[in-house]
Amino acid sequence: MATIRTRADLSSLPAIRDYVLEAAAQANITGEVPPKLDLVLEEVIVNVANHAYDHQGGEVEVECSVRQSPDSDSPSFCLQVRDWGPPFDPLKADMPDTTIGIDERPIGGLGLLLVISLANDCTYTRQDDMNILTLCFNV
Amino acid sequence: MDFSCTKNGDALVVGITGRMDAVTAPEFDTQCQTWMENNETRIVVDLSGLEYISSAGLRSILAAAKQIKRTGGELIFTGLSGMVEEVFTVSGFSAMFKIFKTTEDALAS
Repeated sequence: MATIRTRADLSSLPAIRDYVLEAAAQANITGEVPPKLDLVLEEVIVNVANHAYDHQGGEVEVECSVRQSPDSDSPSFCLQVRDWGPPFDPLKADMPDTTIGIDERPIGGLGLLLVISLANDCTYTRQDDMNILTLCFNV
Repeated sequence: MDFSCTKNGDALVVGITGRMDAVTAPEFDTQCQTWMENNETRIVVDLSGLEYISSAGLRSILAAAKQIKRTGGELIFTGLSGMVEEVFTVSGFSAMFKIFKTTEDALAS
């Protein structure tokens, strides 16, 4: 499947979203997965846009693929998100405490929690100067 | 994202439709300022027409809830379904806020 590479900022999100949802439609992915892709995509692109390049600007690349999971009979639809910022493993970030009240809760920090909760499998690798986050969804 | 506000007794019923994302969430912040200026303290937010919410929307809701709580008021949510309901559950918002199935249920509470 094709790849989209574009500026890592919020204005690129509609184009990336169209690309991912079109790729999912072409792979006959229906039901609850496309809305999850929609949400997870916003969270990871916003994260790259805000943090990867220290507001100096840079690029993000997204690739969609259908993969056969080694430990499952059913395939997965996977998003791979690549950026060229400093090494950052979002899967090691501190997760917010979701059990505390309105007064105690810090504002923010829920994006990665949503990503990790909604994707069935998340992996991070650093390859040369590139962060690679792969998010797979059972279909 | 669109808002419809209706006064019902001492409560303000706010219906939100569309997408609440990183681009549109500031519109919710603006609405919240209007409620504060009008001294609204019981705000019932009907999310049955909301198609999508991301962490940017949750951030705006939490900021609004903190502000409203400081004035002795509260935000109540109704009409959650699908992904919006799942996002509220995963983030702990379902446990943190009063949630009712319908606006009628919330107004009767």
